[in-house]
Formats: sequence, C-alpha cells, structure tokens
Amino acid sequence: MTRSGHTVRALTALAALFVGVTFLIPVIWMFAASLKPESAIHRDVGAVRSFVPAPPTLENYRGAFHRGDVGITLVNTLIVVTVITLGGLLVNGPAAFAFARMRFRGCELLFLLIVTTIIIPLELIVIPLFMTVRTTRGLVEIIGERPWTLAALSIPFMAKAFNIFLLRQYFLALPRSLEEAAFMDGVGWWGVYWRVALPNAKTAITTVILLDFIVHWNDFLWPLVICQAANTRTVQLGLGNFFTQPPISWGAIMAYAVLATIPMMLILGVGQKRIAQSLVTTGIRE
Amino acid sequence: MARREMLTAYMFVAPAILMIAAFVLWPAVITFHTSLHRTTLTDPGPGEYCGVENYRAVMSDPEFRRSAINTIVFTVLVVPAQTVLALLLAQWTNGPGWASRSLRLAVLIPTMISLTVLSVLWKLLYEPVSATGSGLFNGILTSLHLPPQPFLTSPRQAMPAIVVMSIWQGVGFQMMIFLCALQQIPAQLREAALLDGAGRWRRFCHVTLPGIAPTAAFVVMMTTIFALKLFVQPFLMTRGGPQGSTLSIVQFIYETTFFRRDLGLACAAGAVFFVGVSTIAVVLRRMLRAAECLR
Amino acid sequence: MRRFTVPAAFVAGTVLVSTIAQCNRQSGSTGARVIMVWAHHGQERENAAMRRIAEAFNERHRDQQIRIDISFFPDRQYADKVSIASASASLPDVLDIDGPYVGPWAAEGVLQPLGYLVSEKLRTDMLPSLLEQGTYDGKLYALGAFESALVVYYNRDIIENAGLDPPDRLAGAWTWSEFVEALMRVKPHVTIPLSLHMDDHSDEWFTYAFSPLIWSNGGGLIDPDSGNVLGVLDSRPTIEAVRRWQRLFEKGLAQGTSTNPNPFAAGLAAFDWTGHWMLPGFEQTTALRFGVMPLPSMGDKPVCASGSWCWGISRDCRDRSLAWQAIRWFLDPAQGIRPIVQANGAVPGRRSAFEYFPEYDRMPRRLFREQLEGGAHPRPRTPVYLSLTSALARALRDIALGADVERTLRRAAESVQRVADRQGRRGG
Repeated sequence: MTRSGHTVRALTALAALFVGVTFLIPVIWMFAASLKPESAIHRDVGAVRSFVPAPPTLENYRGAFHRGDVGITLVNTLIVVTVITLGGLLVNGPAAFAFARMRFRGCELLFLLIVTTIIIPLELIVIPLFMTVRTTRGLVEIIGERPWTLAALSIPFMAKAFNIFLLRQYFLALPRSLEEAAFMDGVGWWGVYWRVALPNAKTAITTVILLDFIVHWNDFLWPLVICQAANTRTVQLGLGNFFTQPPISWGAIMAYAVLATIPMMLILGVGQKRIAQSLVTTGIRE
Repeated sequence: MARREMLTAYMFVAPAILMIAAFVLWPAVITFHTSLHRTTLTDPGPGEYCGVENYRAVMSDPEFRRSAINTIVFTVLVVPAQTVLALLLAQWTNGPGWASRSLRLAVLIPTMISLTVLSVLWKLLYEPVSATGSGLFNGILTSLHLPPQPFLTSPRQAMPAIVVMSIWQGVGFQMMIFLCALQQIPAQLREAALLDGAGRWRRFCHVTLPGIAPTAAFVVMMTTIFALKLFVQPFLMTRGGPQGSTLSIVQFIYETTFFRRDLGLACAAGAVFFVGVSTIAVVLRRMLRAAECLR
Repeated sequence: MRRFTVPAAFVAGTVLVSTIAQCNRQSGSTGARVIMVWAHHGQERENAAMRRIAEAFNERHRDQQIRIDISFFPDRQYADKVSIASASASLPDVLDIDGPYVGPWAAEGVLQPLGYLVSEKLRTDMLPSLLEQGTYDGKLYALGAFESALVVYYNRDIIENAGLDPPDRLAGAWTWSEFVEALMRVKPHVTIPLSLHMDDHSDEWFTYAFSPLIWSNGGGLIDPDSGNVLGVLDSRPTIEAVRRWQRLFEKGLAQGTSTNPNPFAAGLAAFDWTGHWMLPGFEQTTALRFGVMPLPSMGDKPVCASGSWCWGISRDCRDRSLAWQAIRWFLDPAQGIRPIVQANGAVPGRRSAFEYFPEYDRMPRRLFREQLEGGAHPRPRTPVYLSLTSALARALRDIALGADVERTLRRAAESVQRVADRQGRRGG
C-alpha cells in the first residue's frame, strides 16, 4: 500500500464516519432526550451536552405509560398490524396466484383495475371509506367497541393492490414444471397453490408482510378517523395526541417516540434486506 | 376442465376483488360523484348537482395553485437528489467489512422510524436561535462560528429544510434496493470490463448503470408517487407555512375538507390530484422505458 | 368440491355477520340506555374529573338503567372527528363544543336547539357570556359548565426588581404603550420579557388570545351582519393593532418561536399572556411568586376574551330528554361544576356555583370573575369560523416572523371571503 493509498483510505474512513454520524445524530438525540429530566433538555438543547443522558432518569417513560397510555396503544397496533399482514396474505395470495397462473374471462381487465388502485391515496377517499365502514357499526353491540375498532382499523387494508402485484411477479417466475408435477399427483389448483406456489415464494411473502408492517405501524390518518375510546387507539395516534396535549413535556414525548420506534427497529433490523431483495427482483421483471 | 378452472380462479380472486372494490374503488367513485355536487362536510347527502363548477373553482384557487407548485417543487428536489445519493451510498457501501456494514446500518436507521416521530424530532432540531436557546443544528452552526439560520421559520428555507429531512429519512430504503441490484450484477461482466482496461467511471457507466437501470426506474417511480403525497412533514413541522411556502396538495385537500367544510371542492381537488399523479406516473414510465431502450 | 371451502366460507361468513348485525340493530337494545358523550381531551386532571362526574351519574342512575359513556379526543382532532361522524350520521348524543364552533355546527345542523329543555331558572343563573356563546341565529344550542379568562401573569420577583406596579382591577388595565414600556423596563433583567405561546399547536389560541387587541383598537375579524371578512379583517384599525403587536417581536420583547412550552413556570419570562388554565400549575410551582393583571388595551377600555367548552345535543341524538339529563348533570353546581372547576381552574359557569369557591373573592381569581361579569367579548359566531380562525392563525404566525402586516392580512381576508362566497352559493 502506497502512502497516498493510506491517505485515501483514511479520508474515506473519515467521510464514512461523518456520513454515519449525520444519519445517527437525530436518533441518538431522541434516545438521550428520552432519558433526561425536562429541565435538562431545555438547558442542553443545541449543545453537545444534549447527547449525554446525564443525570439519567426513567421518569419520562413513566410519564409516557401513565399519562400517555403507551402500553395499550402498542398492544392495539400490534394486533392491527398482525391482522392486516396475516389476513392480507390469505386474501392477496390466492388472487395473485390466479392472476399469474390461471386463465379466466376478464382476467386482464380485473388485474388492470387492481393495479390502478395503487395510486389512489388514502387521503382522497378517507371520508367515503369511513362512511362505508360505518355501516357495520351495528356490530359494536355484538362484539364490543374495542374489537370493532380494531377490525375497522385492519380489515379495509387487508386486500392491497401493491401486494397482489408483488406476489404475482413472484408466482410468474415459478417454473411451470413444478405445478405440472403436482397436477400429475392429482392435486387441484388449491393444492398447487398451497403446496407448491406458497412454499416457493417465501421471500416475497416475507417482503409483503414486512412492508405491510411498516406502512400500518406508521398509519396516522385512518386511526385518527376511526378510533374513539382511549383503549382503541394506535401508537402513532397516541403519539400525535401526546405531542399536542398540554402539559407538553418533550422528555415524555421522546420516550413515547422511542417506544413507538423500537418494535419497528426490531422487525426491520431482521427483514430490511429481504424486502429490498424482492423489490429488486420485482423491478427487474416489471 | 376450463370451466372448472375459471370457477376456481374466480374464487381465488373474489375476496381481494370484493375488498378492493368496497374499500378503495367504491369510495373513489363517491369522491368523484361528490366533486360534481355542492356538498358541505357535515351534509349526510350529496347536495345539489353543479357540473364542473368545483373544478373551475379549484383550478382558479390561488391556494391550490400554490400547493400544487410546492408539491411539484418538493418532488423535483427530492426524487433526483435522493436517487443519486442512494446510488452513491449503495456503491460506496457495497462490499464486505465492518465499516461498510455499520455505515449501511446507520443510513438505514432513519427509515425504521415513523414520519410522525421524525417530524416532531426535526422540528426541535431545526429550532432557530432564541433567548431560550436554539435547536441542535443552530447550536452546531454557532459553535463552528457560522451564522445561525432560520430554517423552518423562513419562507425561503422551510421547503429546502423539509426536503433535506425527507431525503435523510428515505434514502436508506432506496440505498438498500440499489445495493441488492448491484449484488445481482454478474461478477464476470465487471471482470471483463476490468480486463478491457476500462476505468472506474467507464465501468460504472457501461456495466453498473445498465445493470441496475430497471431497478432505478422502479425506484424513481415509487419515490415520485410517494413524494407527491407529501403531507405529514409540513403538517406537523410548519402547518404549511411560513407564508404558504410548504402547503402541499394533500394538506390543501385536508384543510378544504375540515376547515372550509367544502367537501365538493375538496373532492374536486382530490380528483385533479389523482389525475395529475396518474399522468406523471404514466409519462415517467414511458420516459424510463425509452431511456432503457436507448442504451 | 373441497377446494372451494375457504373462499366460500369467507363470503358466507361476511354475509352472515352483516345479517346478524342488521337484525340486532333493528331489534333495538334492551339493556341499559346509554348516553354517548364525546369530550375534548383537556389536561389530565380535567379528564379524570370528567370521568368521575360521569361515574357519579351512572352510580346515581343505576336503578333507572341509564349510563353515560364518555370518550375523550385531543383538541386538534376533535373537530375533525365530529365532522366525519356528522357526515356519516353517527354523532354521539351529547357533544362537547369549543365555543366558536357553535356557529358552524349550528349552521350546518350538527347541533339541535336546546329550546324548552332549558328552564328560566337555569337561564338566569348562567353567566351572560355563556348564553351569548351558545346562541346562534336567535336560538340557544349549547351551555357550558365553566368560562375562560385570559389574563397576563407576571413574575413578582422580576416586576418588583424593575419597580413596576401592575394593576389588579379591570378598570386600571394598562394601555398598550404602558405595557410595552414595562416590557422594555424588564428586558435587561430577564430571558424573555413576554411569553406569547407562539408555538401553540392549535389555531384557536391565536384568535382567542389576540383578537381582544384587535377589538380594543376598534378593528374586527368579520362583519356580524353581512358576514363579510374582506374590508374587516384587513381594515385600518385591524392592521394597525396587528402592526403594533408585531413590534413586540421586532424589539425582542416576545419570541416568534420557542423550544420551551412553559418558560414562565421556569422563571424565564417576566410576563405570560395566557389563560386561567395555567393557574393551577403555577400555584403548584413553589419557586414561583406571581400575580395576574388584565390584558392591556389599545383603545379606551379593556376588552376581555371569553369562551370555553360547552355541551350541546347532536342532530343524531334520538332521545333529547335523556341527553339533557346528562348535560343537566354536567351543569349541576355541586355534581358537575364543582369537580370540573376544581380540576381545571376555570371560572364556574353559574352564579350559584360561586358559593363553592370562596377563592373567587380574592386575587387572582377575583379578576377572572370581574372580567366575565364586566362583559367579555365572545369570538364571532359564523359558519366560516374555522376558515377564519385558521387563516388568522396562519397570518399571525407569519407576521410574528416578520411578514408584511397589510399584505398578509389582506391575503387572509381574501381567502376567508372566498370560502364565505362559496358557502353562500351552497346555501349554508
């Protein structure tokens, strides 16, 4: 290695350090602030000291749990996201498979119709959608307020054009020989789907699950419209409330934000690479 | 057999089709229907038919025009910058070793945090200098003996500030996609180029770029659609201000619905927005396809 | 056949469930009668008190099988929530209404008039500003358990250092120039001379807090008869009042933006322009010695802000007398007003309720009472109120950051006027 090579390497490392720190600073700040007493946050704001959680305290987290009900909102969000992802798989999977493999009248038209809905933003249809969902409000008397709200938060988002599109791309790529072999064994379409197509599309399925998880963990507008009772709220809505509701305490808000973030980090830390991989594959075949 | 297959196929697609019809298409139809009527937000009925009056009103509304311009400016600033930056980062961190891996992770962290959380956080970081202190960024500027900046409180800096924050948040995800695309380029191609004596730049242009072009097209498309839906960041950080400089189309629709209570107008704006997004998507697709064919 | 089971079961299940739901709704509920109540999310103490009030009601009415079911929503989302519920005809029976919303919601038919439900005795017992606030187009739509008071708090230690002696009576309110002079006097000794809460997230704060200045200068927001905004919100006296207000920021007497939501409690601000709701918190801050004074006036006499949350019956309520039972409970001096006022520090809304609060004979609360009895100015009641308040808030935020007053107010007036014109065409 020459001397100039060393210099280049050192410079590169320095640049990498700088870029990394740039991306991490705000996040570290958030964690640090969540561990500091309120007065210290205001005192240190804008100074290097604001990254040091000293003296550390869990008071903010207590505040987030007691005043902000962060516990129940986390549980609710987890339920909603689970129902959306698993239910979505049951609905989108077969549809994607049919569009990829089976021939039926109106196939192209239906697929086009579905794909067009990808660009309809929720903001555009939120009120009519709410009116539609409200027609099932009578169910509250049978199943109760919280289950109804959680269902209303999840069921409308189970079927998703983008996911159908993504899964279809995967099913298209499966070699036909696999299913022909299965047909020889006397299984029907359902069997082919269940025993051949699904097990071979694990990457795509993980992707769809993770994408759904990201999107719906972060939902704000729809919970805002649907949730009534405090015990039915989701974590982002809870944070939005907590952020605007006096007395405003930045420490507790940051603690809430940290708690709202941790599950995402756990899930995405595991799955980020997988998502990207399958998106690339989809992009290539598009 | 064919009939049975068809029947099965319908059974396969029915749940998805029915749900999309009920939860997306039907509400969209209602939106379009409402845009042709004089409707107040709290009216349970559709109101009086008024033809394209709402469309005429929305197109001549200065706030709507402002919001459309702002949204387009945001998109034009974010999409190219974020894509190029993501590509550079991907190229840079494409390799083994702990340095690359930790840098990748650092860039990815912001994408794991919701926009709500990040908007709240960045508003605090961007805080201008005042008697009670300043935000982190101005603290850094001051300690470097640079002049403090107003950031979100200035009509000229607010949109760039939101652009920077959005790029910071979104670039990691794109980088990851590019990274995977880079790793799928066959190593032989690279080696062949190397043997031909191609320099760094030529290798990038002739091997890497063509290899990731389809992915890039996909990424640009998704980012554009996402950018056009801009709402949470300005809504929580500036409420569309100062002086309307960060008002986005979605916020215009939101405020027309809930403040002006003019559902007809809001739905017309929504329909215009929808047509705009679709057109941009189609045009972009054509352009990207054409670019791909050229090479 | 087997391969059809899953999707078929799904469809059948959906149909079955919705049929059951339909039947159940038609048969009507047999058990307890529930009064659905929606309330805004106030401070924690306030919500807890509201919950206790509802529980006490349920306890008392157990034999009659009547129950209040109360839900809370944060201020900023509350109005959106009600609007959507109204559009889908699913409003609760009883609504908590922020004073200025009485106009839009009455005009749009979200609320129904209280009419004969309100006895003459109750009417005469209510604070006059509350009756005025609840009335739209000659009909009473809402009544509140408490009123609000906007005052200027001052830090005694700082004030005494500067040798100032703020007034404690409405009649002795400072003029604007006296006030600015006082701020200049304290400026060298304090981080922030005046805290104006410009970082407040709600648009409502700006209209509530600063329109008294506009009124005291002879300006206005909207013409009550014609409903015109153009020519009022951008009239000379309004522009002049706002320009004088803007100088506070130019001279560094107040902050256009702030990281600290409560500098006064931390001892960083000499004066705090805020409402009664901050009082309990200040009283609990032991290190803080403070007093209150009325708002300064730009004209001959002071103008006070008023208005607060009040209760009304929604259009979708089927049993008005049942809903009224809940509201009457909320307005009951002992059962409703006493606990809520103890929690939020507001001014009791009924004259007869003052007997529970001897502190209203002493400062600082005596000033609250004096302001409301001395004729407080309610915010305009108009169908376009929400556009008005959001446009004004946006304008004031920009002006505090240095935008041109005349141009900004003109643009705001034009934007609200457009809304009013379109609304006129829609026929309300």
